[in-house]
Amino acid sequence: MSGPIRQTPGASATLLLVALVLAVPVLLIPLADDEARAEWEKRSLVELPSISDFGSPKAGFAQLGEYLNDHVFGVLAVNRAYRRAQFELFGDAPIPNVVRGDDGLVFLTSHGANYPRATLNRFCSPNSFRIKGIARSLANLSEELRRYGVQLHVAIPPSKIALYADRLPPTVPVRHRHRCQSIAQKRGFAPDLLSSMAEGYSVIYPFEEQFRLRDTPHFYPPENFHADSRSTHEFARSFFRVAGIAGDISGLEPSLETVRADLKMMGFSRDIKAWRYRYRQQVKITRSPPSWVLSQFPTIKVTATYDTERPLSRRRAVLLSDSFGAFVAPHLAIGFEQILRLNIKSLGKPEAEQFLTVALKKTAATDVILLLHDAGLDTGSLQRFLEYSGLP
Amino acid sequence: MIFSTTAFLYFFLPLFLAAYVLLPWKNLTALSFSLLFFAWGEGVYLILLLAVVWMNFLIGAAVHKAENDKLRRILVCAGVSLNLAVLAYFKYWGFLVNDVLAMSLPAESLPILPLGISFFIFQSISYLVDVYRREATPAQSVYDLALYIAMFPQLIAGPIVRYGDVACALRQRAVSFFPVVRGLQLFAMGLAFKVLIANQVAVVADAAFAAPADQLAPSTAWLGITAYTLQIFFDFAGYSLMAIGLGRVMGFRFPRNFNHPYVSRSITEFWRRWHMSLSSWFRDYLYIPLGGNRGGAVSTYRNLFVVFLLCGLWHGAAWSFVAWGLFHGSLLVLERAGLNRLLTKIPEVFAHLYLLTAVMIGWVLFRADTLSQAWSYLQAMFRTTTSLAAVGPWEIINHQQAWVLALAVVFCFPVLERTRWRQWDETSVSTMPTSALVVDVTVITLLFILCSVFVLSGTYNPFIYFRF
Repeated sequence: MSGPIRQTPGASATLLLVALVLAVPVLLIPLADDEARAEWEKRSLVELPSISDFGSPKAGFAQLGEYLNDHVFGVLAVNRAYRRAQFELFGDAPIPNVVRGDDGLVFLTSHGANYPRATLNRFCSPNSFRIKGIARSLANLSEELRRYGVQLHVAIPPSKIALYADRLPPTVPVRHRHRCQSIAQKRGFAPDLLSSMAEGYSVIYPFEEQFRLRDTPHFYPPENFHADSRSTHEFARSFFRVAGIAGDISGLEPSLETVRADLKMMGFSRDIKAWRYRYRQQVKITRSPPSWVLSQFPTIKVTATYDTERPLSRRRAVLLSDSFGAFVAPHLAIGFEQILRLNIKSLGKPEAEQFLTVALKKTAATDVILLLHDAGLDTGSLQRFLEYSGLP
Repeated sequence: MIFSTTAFLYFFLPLFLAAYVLLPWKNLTALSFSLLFFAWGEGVYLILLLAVVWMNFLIGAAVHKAENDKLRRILVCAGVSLNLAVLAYFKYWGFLVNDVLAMSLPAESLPILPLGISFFIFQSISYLVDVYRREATPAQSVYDLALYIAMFPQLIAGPIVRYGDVACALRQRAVSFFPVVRGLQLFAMGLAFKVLIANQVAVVADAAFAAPADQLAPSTAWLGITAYTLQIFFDFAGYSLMAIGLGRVMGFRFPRNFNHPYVSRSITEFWRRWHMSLSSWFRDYLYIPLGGNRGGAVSTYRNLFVVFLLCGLWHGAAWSFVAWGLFHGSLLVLERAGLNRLLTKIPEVFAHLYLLTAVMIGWVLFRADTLSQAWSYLQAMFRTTTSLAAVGPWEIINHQQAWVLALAVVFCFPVLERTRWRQWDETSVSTMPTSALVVDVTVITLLFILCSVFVLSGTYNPFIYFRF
């Protein structure tokens, strides 16, 4: 079926050059840093399909397409550049579950792109029935802990959505903004309900103090989702007051430092300004799990231990938290000899049933701190933990 | 497989280009890659495509050989009917049993719509009819016909190429430097239309149509449909340009498919500029055989209605597409009945406004999932009051999309006509000074790089026209 089809050398050379240039991302697949990409995106990359995968040609080709998407050279760098350009050049949020205001404030509105306003919904439309249920479970847990001589504290750092609800930009639906502002003006619905129902446990929710300070420079770094700056420091002070830990941690002047932003989910890292407090140097942080966690709870990964040289008290604590815990714990640690921190989201049913009992014995804890930000109270992870964490 | 994916741009296309240049069997290479291209997305439906090719090859040969006019007519009618039967089964069976007959058959019992079936069936019909009319000689071999019907650049989203337009090139063509450069230029521009514009404004349109229509502020509803109006043009025109560009690279000339449709001043003019290969197909193979405008006003109006009813159905098997087709048919009848005379007398700006409003109302019918959603959306567009809690424009668009939208509006006008890009004939490239060629190559390269940034960073949006 060949015929008189002519081809000039100029055309051939041009097409071969174009083919070569276009093929570069695929030709360089062996040099692609798959490990870094998998780590950055927190998922496993698709494997190259085998011949048997083409038993269904459509499925085989689909997998080959996904493999190419995952492994072509340079994706990570290009993605970072693109997201950064969206953020810096256009002033837009680079992912759907982040909101960026015109004044530079960044809000995390959900942990998943499929429900990009889930956190907003939880904070701004709290479910009173569920919150009451949580309060009852907390009272039960507190009673059981008291039998061990352990005090329960429910520590609730005000989230950015609560403190800066009036600065949510017009990209957030107006009905959400109105509800969030209304809830924020009432200093948060869920924490209030928990405080009013607290039986035997303390609730630390320093909304007013934080709101008063919110406009001081770098109080809550505007580019950051979490607060590892003055807001966390002030939160620790509020906590110590309520928890009866004497001593002041504000004696030494903090320094303003440049740090890396905390979440990779936006697609790139940023340098931000934040206050750093010198007392944190007394805290030794061990990020690998203690040996008893490794042996008895091998599936638990997100733990850290904070040992303090000259603590404000001789108390020891188990800190169960959401992602805020990693930022607040170094400040809280100064009040305790030791804090063992665990991300509550990493607890499945089997771990939740036993972890607290074992942890109390192993750490000789005097306090249990449940630390969740105010938009994260009404979540499945806390309910799941409270449901399964029965002490014997 | 779609053109703006990693798999196509960085794997399939370079592999094809290298094979096409290095192997001596150009047609065999083009056909093999075309079949691979179809199999990549549609799997075993490749058998259906090959069966359609084989069937049309046999019928075309029979029509050509038959000396009796009656027999030729019977054969061509049978061939067209078989093609339409294939299309009807795969595309309209579900609509017929579920929507028309309200039988509620489960989705798994209905046939899956193979991508591009509307395009390759229409090309097959044009082949048979052209052979019947003796406007084209039948394919010399089944491979020629297979390459014509299955050629990957235009296989799944057009333009609809007539067999007569490429019959000679199938056997004899040249792959030379300047057409290749022009082809790459058109491909780059089409890719930019799709990736940099259509995909971006699509997010805005999707957000508007995803929100409950009764909660949309009128400004948001208009923004949403404006975004869709731009999306569908840049999506489809971009794909057509990429197809035409790849055709040039392979040594073929595919017809132009869009000519700035939104600058039209009437629906009649719009259809001379929008999806030109489809409208000319309907004109030549349906409207004129029905009698065209030769039988008086009533007959002409009836023919227009029939053509646009079927045009709507061709775009999709749903009542909303039927409504869209009838809406356009009605406007064409009105224009023919006297509105056109009025439009030529009023200031141009009002004629443009009429056209844009009519087209956008039509796109609401086209984009909505159901007729009731379309009706609610239209109500939102023309609502005079709005509640405080209504979805505002900034909830569905960000800064980047706003810039892209503004840029898209500019490119709806023939701004490129003022540059070298307008030249569709490669002779203009061959007479170009070297410095200008360097500039063009630089622009192509930059567009490729920019599109690659968007493609590689995960922007993904299937082409709208694939479902047709």
